[in-house]
Amino acid sequence: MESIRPRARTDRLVTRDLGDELLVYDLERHKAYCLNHVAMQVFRLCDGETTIPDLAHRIGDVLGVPVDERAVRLGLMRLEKARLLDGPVEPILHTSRREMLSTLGRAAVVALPVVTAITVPTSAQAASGCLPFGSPCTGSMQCCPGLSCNASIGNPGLKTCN
Amino acid sequence: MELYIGDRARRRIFVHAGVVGWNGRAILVPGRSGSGKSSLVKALVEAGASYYSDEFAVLDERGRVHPYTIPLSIRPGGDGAARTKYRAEEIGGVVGTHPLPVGLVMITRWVRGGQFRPRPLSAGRAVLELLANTLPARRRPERVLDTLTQVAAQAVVLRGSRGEAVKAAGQILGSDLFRPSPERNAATAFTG
Repeated sequence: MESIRPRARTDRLVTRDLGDELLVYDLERHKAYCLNHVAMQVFRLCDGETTIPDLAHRIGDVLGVPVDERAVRLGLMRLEKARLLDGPVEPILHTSRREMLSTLGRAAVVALPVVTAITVPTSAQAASGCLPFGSPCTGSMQCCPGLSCNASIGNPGLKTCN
Repeated sequence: MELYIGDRARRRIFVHAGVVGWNGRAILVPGRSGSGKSSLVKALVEAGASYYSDEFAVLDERGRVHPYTIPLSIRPGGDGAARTKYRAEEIGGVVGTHPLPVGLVMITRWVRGGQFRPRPLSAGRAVLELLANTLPARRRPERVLDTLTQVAAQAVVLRGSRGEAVKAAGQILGSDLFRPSPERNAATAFTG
């Protein structure tokens, strides 16, 4: 675990800094992400040379609050899922938000990384107001033609257009 | 034709949204099909807001919205019903003529019996909501992000379900958000 030195992806990304949030547009996959203040720091400080414990220290210094290594791993897991890390990453100890809260208490919420994602619609999809593939939904009529609102594979509690 | 123009306009960003003007600011109502966007726009116009669009928020590089005053298109009977078109003057409204800075982005959908207590979104989440309704997003992502970031920086962005459009319109236009008060607070504008 000490040897993991993750690197943030830079290729084919457009970013916009909003102060305490970072917007990231993936030109390859036409997905857009909003990184909260913690996820933003994880993304920024992943330089391919910094270990996870050091990332936690550095992020804590930037934010002015202690940051648990498990929060960093959670952030890396979310960034990896969003394909915002460069290259294959060795298995990161997967920590769910629920596990974090149960072991660290509500104080951990302050330093939890959040990555919000959307699939960017085509112009026709945006004009019609329909939801493209992968978008959260509550009914099939919201989805673009050819798609229906179904439970997500791997996350039955979430319905998406697919 | 509208789709082509909305996707390729060089100096404007087209967002699928209803727009009205109120107290020198624009109110944007981004909307997916069936969300009740047009009904809310109609109610806002009937309550005294000026009509800018029922279909597209046309944004310039400064994040101001320009009029796009095609007739409102409402489904009086809800989803599946035939649409009825209204000119703003036919419902007692006035048409906006000048570009306006965006003061409020209202992300909402009609829910039967819904309580209108929208909550503020962060700027980043607000940009994602607008991006999901922006026509040239894939064609010109950098320009789109610049424009939407400006809008999110200058406007209050709220999200929440609503009940009947007439009641929600009254709450929006009468809220603290449009009063010249230094204590204006988006988090509490629709509570109590």
